[in-house]
Amino acid sequence: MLPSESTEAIVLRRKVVLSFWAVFVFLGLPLWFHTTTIHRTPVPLSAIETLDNELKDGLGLSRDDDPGLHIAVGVKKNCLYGITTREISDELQRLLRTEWTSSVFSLDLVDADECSGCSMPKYTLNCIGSDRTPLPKTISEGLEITVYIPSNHGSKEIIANGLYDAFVGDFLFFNKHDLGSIDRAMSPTTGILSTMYRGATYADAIHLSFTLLIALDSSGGERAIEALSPEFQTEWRVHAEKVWNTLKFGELNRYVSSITFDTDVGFQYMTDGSDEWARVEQDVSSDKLSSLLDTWDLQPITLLTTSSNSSAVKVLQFVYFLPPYSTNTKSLSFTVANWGGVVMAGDSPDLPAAMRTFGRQIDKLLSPVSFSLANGSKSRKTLPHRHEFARIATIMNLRGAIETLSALSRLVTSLQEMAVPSTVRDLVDSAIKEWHSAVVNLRSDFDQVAENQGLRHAAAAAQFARQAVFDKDMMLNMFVPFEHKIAVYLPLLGPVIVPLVAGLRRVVVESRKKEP
Amino acid sequence: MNELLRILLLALAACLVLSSKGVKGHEEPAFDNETLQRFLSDQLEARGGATGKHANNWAVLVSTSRFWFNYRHLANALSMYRTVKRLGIPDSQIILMLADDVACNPRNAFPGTVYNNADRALDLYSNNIEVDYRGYEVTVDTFLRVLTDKVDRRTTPRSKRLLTDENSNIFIYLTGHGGNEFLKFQDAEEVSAFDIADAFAQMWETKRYHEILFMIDTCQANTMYSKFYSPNILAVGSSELDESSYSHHADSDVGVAVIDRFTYYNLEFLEKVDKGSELMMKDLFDSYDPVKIHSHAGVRTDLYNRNLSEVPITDFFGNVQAVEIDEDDDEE
Repeated sequence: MLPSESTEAIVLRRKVVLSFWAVFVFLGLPLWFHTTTIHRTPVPLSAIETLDNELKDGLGLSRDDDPGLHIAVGVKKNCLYGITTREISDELQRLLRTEWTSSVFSLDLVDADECSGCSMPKYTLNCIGSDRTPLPKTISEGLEITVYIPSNHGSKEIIANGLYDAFVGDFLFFNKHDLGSIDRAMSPTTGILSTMYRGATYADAIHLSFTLLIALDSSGGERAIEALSPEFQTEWRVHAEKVWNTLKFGELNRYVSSITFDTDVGFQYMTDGSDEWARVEQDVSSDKLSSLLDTWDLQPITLLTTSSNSSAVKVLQFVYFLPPYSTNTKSLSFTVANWGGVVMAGDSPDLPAAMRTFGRQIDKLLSPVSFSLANGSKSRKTLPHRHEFARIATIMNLRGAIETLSALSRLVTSLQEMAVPSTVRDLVDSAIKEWHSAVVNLRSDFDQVAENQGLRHAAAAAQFARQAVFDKDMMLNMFVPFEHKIAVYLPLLGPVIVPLVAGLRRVVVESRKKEP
Repeated sequence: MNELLRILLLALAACLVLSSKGVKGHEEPAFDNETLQRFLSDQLEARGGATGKHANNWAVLVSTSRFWFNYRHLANALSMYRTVKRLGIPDSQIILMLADDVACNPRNAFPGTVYNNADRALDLYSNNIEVDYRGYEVTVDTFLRVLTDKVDRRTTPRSKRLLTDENSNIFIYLTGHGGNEFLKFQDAEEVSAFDIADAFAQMWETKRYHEILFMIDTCQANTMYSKFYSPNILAVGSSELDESSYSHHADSDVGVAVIDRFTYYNLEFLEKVDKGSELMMKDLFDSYDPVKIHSHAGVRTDLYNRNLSEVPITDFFGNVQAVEIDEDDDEE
């Protein structure tokens, strides 16, 4: 039989047990709660839904100032080669169900020859052609777009009074066999409107990276030695700077805040030596060139950010490749979508010619179609400078922003175990603020400055939305199976809980014994 | 004794109560096939239909195992790496994650090499390989961040990011030790089927893929794709629930198994494929033989709405850049 405890010992034990419990309840539990709660900052989901509805309702813009590309065309029968306007409309309706076109583009077709008493649309498409018909040097004032079709089915030529009209004409020319061209025209990746689509992901800054890539085979190569000379490298940089200057003071500068460039010299060791290059020369095809591109050891491009930090930089790479030898007198050049361009030198390197080719490739990547102006000017490739294109780019960015925010909203709602830090809410608020600023610009009487500001606000909104949805702290908590929780918590908490509970029980029992 | 038992039961109850706070279990998504199909078609309608057109292919190849005796898992991943590179996917579009470095392991009788065959005809660790995440960098957190692109953009180079978009087809290959709805990383942590499913859901919402081919070679691998719910995912695993996956053969000089069966027979098929191949995904899946693989490989196609007999192998395993040869142009 154990000796009875003294009163002081019992009181001390009671105090110890209660102290442990006090620490457990008032410190341990709150600490545990705080450290295991998934922190989710409230995100303004209803505001996002409101913006989405606003966009679907047309942003409060009237039809006249709707920033979309809406074309009403009267089509003369001489443009319809075995196809009716109804068939074209049906086909276009199918093609118009892409994400891009359904929001910003509509096309109304009217049979011009049968339009008696109807109000003729803005444009009339008139097709002429045979090899013997002289190409008109000028056309009458107005909005008739003439399409000249050579009987040998060569490339058609558009005669129009302006850039936009020519674009419309080129876009609209179609016959039964040419419906594929409509498909291509509507395609966001390959069509006439592809630049607009790309431009709609508007980058506030453009960076051009010019790389002189010298092939080295086992012999080393005289070309390599020449290219290593400081004079050659200086000349390389000077020519690159000329291209940069042309862009900097050209129309591109109206749409971006900065155009930068860098030059680099690299070496490519060809493991199979001249045989590898010979195979490319013998079979110049997209596949072969694509394979060659895969093997090039180009320096990784560092994505630069502007000082505003609100939008990304579009980086384009241009590579002048000096092969180990060449049996061709002319150089070979190709463009890679969303990447840049390549010029492969012929038997004698020609830097100025290469740079001119880069200039054309830049135009190709950033500009739409080529055309002839009715005043007899040579065809030019230039960025669209009509306000419609800037506004379309604005609305495209707004669509991008709201889609991203809606995706964020769905993820936050459906994944309850995902943490939502406060930075995400701040970014969403910033995106919504920029969104409103862009819409104000769209609704106001616009001028060039206001349009570009609207475009910048819309781009910023899209960028903030992307930063929010890809916030690195917005991660999902890991799923832990129930049996794993038991296996972890029981040995962890058991040795603590058991004595605490036993001590408390004893305190309670003793208290009850004392009661009469 | 009764008192002790009572205390233990109280402690257990306390643990259960406490454990219900914090990490929640996943509820099984309550949908049937019809609801799933409707959901998928709504998603696809919103995306303008799954036309099968894609512009770029990416690959995420992960070996999750550490230690010398898991040599074969690294060989699996490196074999797949070699295959996708051969078929055209450039290093800039491959994320290779190797949890250990067997090539430079002191136990490696052939230092600096990794072989997937006892004849040692092909060194997978030869020149021109680019490992993006190696060693202890390969964690569950890293893997999920790569998929969802929730990385620190200031410190993560582009070469270590999965820079996909809505036109990208992604081939995701995992190999290591796994179990019922989990895959072990580094012998220290696990990723569950739910986590990967949620990561794919995030990728779908943020338009980071067009189609995914998910391939996994572990024990009970097929359980890892059982929780997927996002559209346009084609999943294939090496073994059923309660079934193990096995190695193919060992190299007596290396001293360990050098390749797993499922991966071995995939590679055997893929060696017949080149960039212009007209073989289809159905051909690959039809080539799986449970007798050879020693397990039942499974394919999940309910989230994938294209006919497998019309999906080229190169839609996932190869890549061609969008090259356009310039026309002669005299203007300046």
